[in-house]
Amino acid sequence: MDRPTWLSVCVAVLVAPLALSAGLAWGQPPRLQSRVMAWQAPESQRHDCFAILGEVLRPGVYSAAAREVTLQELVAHAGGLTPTASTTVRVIRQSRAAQSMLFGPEGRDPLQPNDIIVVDPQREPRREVPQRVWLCFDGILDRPIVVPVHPENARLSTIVKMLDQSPELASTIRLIVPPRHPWPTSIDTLLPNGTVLQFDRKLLVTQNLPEFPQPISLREPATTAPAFTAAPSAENVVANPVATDAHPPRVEAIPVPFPSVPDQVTASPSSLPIPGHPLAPEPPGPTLKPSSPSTASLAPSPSSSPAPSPSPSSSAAARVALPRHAPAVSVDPAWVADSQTEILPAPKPPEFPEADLAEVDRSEELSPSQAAPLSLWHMLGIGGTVAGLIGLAIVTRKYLDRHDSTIGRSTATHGPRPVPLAQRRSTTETNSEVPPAPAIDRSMEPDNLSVLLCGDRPIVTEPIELPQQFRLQRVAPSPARHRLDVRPQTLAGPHRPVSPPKPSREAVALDTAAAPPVPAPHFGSKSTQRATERYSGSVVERALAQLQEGPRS
Amino acid sequence: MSIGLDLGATQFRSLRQTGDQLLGRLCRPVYAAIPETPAHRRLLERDRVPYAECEGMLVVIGDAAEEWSQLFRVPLVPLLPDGQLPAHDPLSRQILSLLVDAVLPPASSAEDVCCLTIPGELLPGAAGPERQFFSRLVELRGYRPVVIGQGLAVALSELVEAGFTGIGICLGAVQCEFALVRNGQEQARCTIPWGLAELASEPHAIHAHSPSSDAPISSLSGSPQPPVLIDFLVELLLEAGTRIDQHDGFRLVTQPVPLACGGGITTRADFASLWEQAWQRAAWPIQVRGLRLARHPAYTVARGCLIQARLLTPRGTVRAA
Repeated sequence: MDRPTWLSVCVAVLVAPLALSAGLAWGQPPRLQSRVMAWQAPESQRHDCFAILGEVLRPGVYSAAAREVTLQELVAHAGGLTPTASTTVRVIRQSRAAQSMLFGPEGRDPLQPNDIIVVDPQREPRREVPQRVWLCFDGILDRPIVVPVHPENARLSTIVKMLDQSPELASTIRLIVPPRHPWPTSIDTLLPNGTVLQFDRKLLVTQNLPEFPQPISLREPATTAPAFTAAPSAENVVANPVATDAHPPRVEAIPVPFPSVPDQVTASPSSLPIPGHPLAPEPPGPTLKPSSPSTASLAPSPSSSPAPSPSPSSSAAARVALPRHAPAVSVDPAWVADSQTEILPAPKPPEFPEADLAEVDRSEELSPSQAAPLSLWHMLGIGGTVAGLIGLAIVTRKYLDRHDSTIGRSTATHGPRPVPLAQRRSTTETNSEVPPAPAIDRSMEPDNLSVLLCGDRPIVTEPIELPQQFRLQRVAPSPARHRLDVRPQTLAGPHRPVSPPKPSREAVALDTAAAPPVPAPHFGSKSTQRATERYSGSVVERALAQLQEGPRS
Repeated sequence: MSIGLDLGATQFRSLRQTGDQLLGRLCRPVYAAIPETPAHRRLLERDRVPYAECEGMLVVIGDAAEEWSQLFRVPLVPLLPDGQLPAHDPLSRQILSLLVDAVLPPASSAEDVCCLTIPGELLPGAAGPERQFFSRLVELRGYRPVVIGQGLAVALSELVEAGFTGIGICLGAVQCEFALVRNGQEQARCTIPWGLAELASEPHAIHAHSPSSDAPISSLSGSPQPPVLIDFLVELLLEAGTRIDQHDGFRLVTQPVPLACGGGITTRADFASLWEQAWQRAAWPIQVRGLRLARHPAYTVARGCLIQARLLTPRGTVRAA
């Protein structure tokens, strides 16, 4: 085979699979998937989220464009502090332990993105049962989540079931409870208001997660600091001039409630309540009818959050939007009964016309083979290309085996001889003449041991790094008031051996069986054997000798 | 990347080699519990002191614990009293795990060997709670733990010219260990549960603290006076000589063997003369060829552990860190 023939074979082998792939791709039917995949939300500007809960009027997650947000501004947007708020707030930053911070209305404490602010109550917690408990979930999304739950649902077991996760996840959740609250001893213990639950994202099944409330935008910074304490009004709120006067009424302040334990009518099979759970027979709330044949969910609409309410009196009202394509979830009866809660159907997204949505609906009916990202045509194309490359390699190898000298002569006139892909082995060579490849790479050889053995090399002491703030866990105390200890009825109890310990003065051999532990006497005292030899009198004399020798461990 | 880990009763040390450089880490296994108040918390955070929270207390651990215990007049609690692992004390075990993680960088491969010494271990091969606990901590950092004695580590570190043959003596804070080593293999071991901490705990036996000394013994309340130290060494040599005389491994030694000594007390400038005086008073059954003191007293045991770890590491798996 001469050189032109070899080149033509190579070109043919390369071109043939490409032409085959192009032909197959041209002949395949049009696919609707490409239009669906092009449906992506436009990239928005980066927003930093800050969570606040506890003794504030409007807990939630607030987002702001990339700018500095202070604690005072966040408290102001959250409606200010309640009269029972403490003077110290806790900041949970980067999933670490809570850091207490003294809150000053005139101060300026900058926050970092994804900070969780927990405003604790004063020393005397409220005795009455709150209407809803605000919890914060950390580690589920790339931002914290603040949700209100019914007080009876504020249990780890129920929350895990709400999130549609496995029950084993409850034991991996790290809790940060407010101070002066008892530590939850089981997964069924009621969590207090302001509890932060830190999840391990690796253990979550993200496909099962429900929709969470969207962050509330911080559109403009607060001009004045919020009032720290004020006289309680009739509505038991703090008269906060920032939240009521300077700022527009925050209709969107109360986010969508966290999905409660669903009722028997509208619950999906994956989120059924626990059989026999006391929360299961709750009266089912009214099922919301969506505007389209598809189901609806309780998720806020992006366009509903910035809409201000015209009157300040409606600042505590909530707006619940219903997007079109979402699973069916029942509404919390407390929200429906609340006269200030407004339930609205979600407006149609303006950027997606009806035709595109219809295409999306139809795309859901495609067969799995059509909807797969790698179709049969792609597989054939890839397979042809791989086969062509393998054939090219085989032809090249055979050509080099036959015409090695030809390549050398032809390329010598143009430049240095290239390194061949495979070295031709002469028939006269033997294995002994070929230098063996090094079994260990030079870079993998051990470091110079002489540096270590000489002992003259100075030793550089590095500073150690300990975690900055962490929590040490003791054994959880029992909630019982009385404890009854029952000794085990075994003979090998805490009894001590009656026989005196044997003097151990012999050296310990490495290859012999383990000897009895060597006692640890004081260095100034004589060993037991010496004492025995010296005082070989009566029992009383030996006892006195032992007393003079001092106690033994 | 193999590493040597010296877990002493008064100090944790680690040593590893990076290229031609020896890098060490050390910390003290102590802690101080300070009442949790906002003022105390702000003070600790202002000075960037690592601390832990535990039931209304702020726990300062490591080297900073001594300073803050004196500042707040709270007791300085040792984590390994008498070299023993406290039983039924999960708090101490958590702090110990933090300290071990602090001095032990994560392993780079599964073949990395960590050679370590166990504090308060009197018998070789004994599966005590200390050995299980610290071996487990080392395993969690990704190393393969190999436990050796402190006397063997001293011999490996200081008896290089003698072909790793001789007697290694480690004068620790809670125990002293004698090891007969031949060609890098430990032939016999003798551990005596006497330590220099007993001398430092006696007020009449110490004098003013020397700030220039950085040895573990200096971290105690003071250094012992020379007469007390000589008495201690004499008693120690007598006790060790009695045990060595009964042991076949030591009895078969007919040639004079070199002696290497390590430990915090060897940092004293007059230790050689003190040892000479004590040696003349104690008649040892074995002829020795001379005494060699450690060149890096703080890292003598850790260096011996590192040498042993390097020798045990499979060839081809040691890389520059």
